Amino acid sequence: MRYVQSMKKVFGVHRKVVWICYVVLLIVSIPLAFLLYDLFAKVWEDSLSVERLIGEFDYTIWRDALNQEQETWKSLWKMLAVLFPIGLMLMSLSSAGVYYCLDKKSVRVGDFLKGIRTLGWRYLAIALVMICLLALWSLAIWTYYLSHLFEFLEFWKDDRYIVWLGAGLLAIWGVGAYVLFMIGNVAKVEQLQCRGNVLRSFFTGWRNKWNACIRLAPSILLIISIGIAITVLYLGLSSTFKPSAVLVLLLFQQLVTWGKVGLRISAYETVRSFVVGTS
Amino acid sequence: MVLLILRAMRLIIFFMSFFSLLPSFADTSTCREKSDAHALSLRTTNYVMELDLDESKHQVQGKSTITWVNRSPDAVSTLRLYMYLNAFSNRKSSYLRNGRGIGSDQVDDRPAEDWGWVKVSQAHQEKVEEPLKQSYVSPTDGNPEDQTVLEIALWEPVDAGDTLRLELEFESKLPRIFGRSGFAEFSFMHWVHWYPKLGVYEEDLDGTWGWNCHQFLPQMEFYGNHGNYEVLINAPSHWTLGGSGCMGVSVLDDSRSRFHFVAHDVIDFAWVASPHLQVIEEQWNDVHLRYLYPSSHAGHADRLVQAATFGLEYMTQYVGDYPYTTLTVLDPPVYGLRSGFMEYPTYITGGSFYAWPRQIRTIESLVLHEFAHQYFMQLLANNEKEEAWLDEGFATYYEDRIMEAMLGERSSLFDVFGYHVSNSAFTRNEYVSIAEGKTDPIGTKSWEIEGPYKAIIYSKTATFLKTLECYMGRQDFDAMMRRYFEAHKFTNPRGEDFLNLLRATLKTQDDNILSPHADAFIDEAIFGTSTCDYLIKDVKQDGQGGIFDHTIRLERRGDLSIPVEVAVKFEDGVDQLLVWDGQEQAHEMHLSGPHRILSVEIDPHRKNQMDINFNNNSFAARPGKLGRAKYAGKLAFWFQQITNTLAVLL
Ligand SMILES: [Zn+2]
Repeated sequence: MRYVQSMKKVFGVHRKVVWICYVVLLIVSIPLAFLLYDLFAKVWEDSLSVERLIGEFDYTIWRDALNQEQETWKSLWKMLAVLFPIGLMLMSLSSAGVYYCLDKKSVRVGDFLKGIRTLGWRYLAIALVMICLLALWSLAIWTYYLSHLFEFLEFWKDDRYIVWLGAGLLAIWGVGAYVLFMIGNVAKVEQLQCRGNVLRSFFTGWRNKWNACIRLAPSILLIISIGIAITVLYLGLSSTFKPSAVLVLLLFQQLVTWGKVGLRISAYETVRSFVVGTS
Repeated sequence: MVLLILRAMRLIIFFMSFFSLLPSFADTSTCREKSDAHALSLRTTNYVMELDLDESKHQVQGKSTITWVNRSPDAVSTLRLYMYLNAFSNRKSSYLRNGRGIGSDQVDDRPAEDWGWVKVSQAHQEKVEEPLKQSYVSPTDGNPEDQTVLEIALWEPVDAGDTLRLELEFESKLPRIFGRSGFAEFSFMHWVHWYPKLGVYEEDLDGTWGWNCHQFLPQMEFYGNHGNYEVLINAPSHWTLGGSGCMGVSVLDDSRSRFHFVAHDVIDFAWVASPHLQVIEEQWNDVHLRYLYPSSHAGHADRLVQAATFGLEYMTQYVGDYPYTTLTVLDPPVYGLRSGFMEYPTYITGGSFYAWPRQIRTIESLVLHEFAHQYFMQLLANNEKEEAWLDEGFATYYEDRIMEAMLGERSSLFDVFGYHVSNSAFTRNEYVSIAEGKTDPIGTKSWEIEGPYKAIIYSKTATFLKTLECYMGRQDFDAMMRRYFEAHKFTNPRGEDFLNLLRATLKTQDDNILSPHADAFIDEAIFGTSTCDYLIKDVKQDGQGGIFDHTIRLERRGDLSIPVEVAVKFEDGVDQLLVWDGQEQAHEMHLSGPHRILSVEIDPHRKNQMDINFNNNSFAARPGKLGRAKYAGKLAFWFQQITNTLAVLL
């Protein structure tokens, strides 16, 4: 119920903030679509293959394109290599604006930008630290599995155990990843009050952080589940889609994205009120 | 004198021990093979072997009686035998020394018990007491350290048409699996290339008779004459054994049994032994099928059954009868996976993992590939060392066909969320992906190939065969393959046998556009390294007074040329199908008429599968944009999906 209430508040009071965050996401992904549209023109030129892309998935058209147009595809990777970090950076900065607005109970664009100005770089630093920690955590878990995989394959009597071990490690990895990112989020909230050293506040108040982690879990799980559900739905349907259906689904995705942004902001609100309210 | 009597007695006892090996069907054999069933092959080389398995040492003690019929005009005074387990006896063998053999990356720190070998302790020619002299020879690469070919000098030459009876006592020790041969954890043992085996005495292309008995080098497989095998193995009763031919079991004592294998008219004998395999038995017409698998793979045992029975059905219909009464399929446990993916006479091994998705049909494709080898390598027993394309390429081609007949043309290999890949498209892609300049001709001897072996030998050959099928029409192609099969089954055909039949068949096909240029195409495809890429350079349309002059400029990149069809579509809906013989590097077509051209396409039915890029084969006057928009939209979706999930975390 709490989430329904906080969602109501988000879409009522913080409507503008939702819009700002949504636009940030949109300006990250929409230019990519246009760049790709042009890139495909280079790959298939004026051949009939372009028309065949309209129908069902055709492995040969794609493999021949991948094999023969390697230079063009390299430019796609370069494009992604630039766009992706920019997107992540924009999103990290926008969370500074959101927290600031929530803290000031303001919905003005000016306050959003002020939040980015005053907190943005700190938030970016926290995000980077969290990404590094996540990389280390992943390395710790998966290096073990992957470096021993051949040993498991050769010396374990039953391959079921190899699969189960993989699934178990995935679960452990998931919990660890979640805890790390929640700690990151709590650290950001703390920046609202203690404007000092990022690291100093990072290592204090574990109890609050832990509680926030637990409080936040349902909404984060909800966001991730929606993401997975949409992905599966899209995967299951889209291979046979005509272009019009793809575009309709892309529009539908905008609605979902808007809802997810709202959910994300209500989650921020929860963690903020919790950490700020009890410290 | 006493000495002489003693020696004579020893000799009598020695030979009696071999006669005791003669088939005794008093056991609980389920074998339906009769030892004197009408011979399907010439039965040039025949083996009766009795083995004691020492499972703790991964070793067998064996006695072998080889009968060999000299079908040459020569009196033969030396024999050559494959001793392939010695390829795994040390790192100086030709197989391991240059680092290219499978498993040669695992030679460092190998404990002594992980190496393998085979030794002949005694060899006797019939009626001669004195043991035969043996020495190792290196006819293929001259490596004096290699011990994979044994030469035995006979006391008496074997005259033309005569039969030799050779008695051997030997000992084989498996290595930890190299290639496909060896032991793994949990007492899993795969006995491949494991016994002293006679080479092939044959006439080479220059008309000289001699032993074709290559050393074991990387990428090599089998070459042998057809014959009968009777193999008796003393092994633990509770173990599961399987292998070539049919199997019967008779209990010897509390713990051990004698497993009795009989395989007729085959070129080799391989077997597996393990205490941890389960068995399913099925019947398909006259063929008794045995599936061996670890319990964790029970969930997909039905996939093995479906693939093998469908394969039997299909090959019988399109190539020829499966003449044997058994087929054994092993799905190895993962700890023995290195023994998988291989073909032996009436015995094949696949490969899978627990919970392997049904939408990824590699389990089926592996079984079908290895099954197709029953025809190409076993019944048509080509020299897999010198002309591997005749078996690997042909098996891949039929693997593609059976997979598509069984699981659908578009999605036979992979079908996840509607993203589908057919087996043959995957095969063609392997050939298309061979990097320029990194290839060898299909017809290269397998140990001399330095390019990507599988892409060249398997995939390029299969793509070549599919191209032939498309140009000839499936019916005529199948008729030719049946002729090839019937003419050469139970013999050792050569590449030229197939190519001569192919050339002759193409000459009789008047309506086949490939026929006039077939010889050059075949030569370049098999013995050359060129590729081909047909493409449309440009299309010009000049209109005056309601009449258009069209110029279509076509081009071929690469020196592999083949005639192609060119389909032209006009605005009024009329289609024209033209033919370009494809011989020059570039070609112009001139057309005129009252309508504009809508599209031009080279090879609209994708008959020429050797074309390495289909995307540049066509021209559309008004190329649609929706296809591009569709995939641009899709990728934008994914990007947005990923970023807005990450946004939560940032
Ligand atoms: Zn094969």
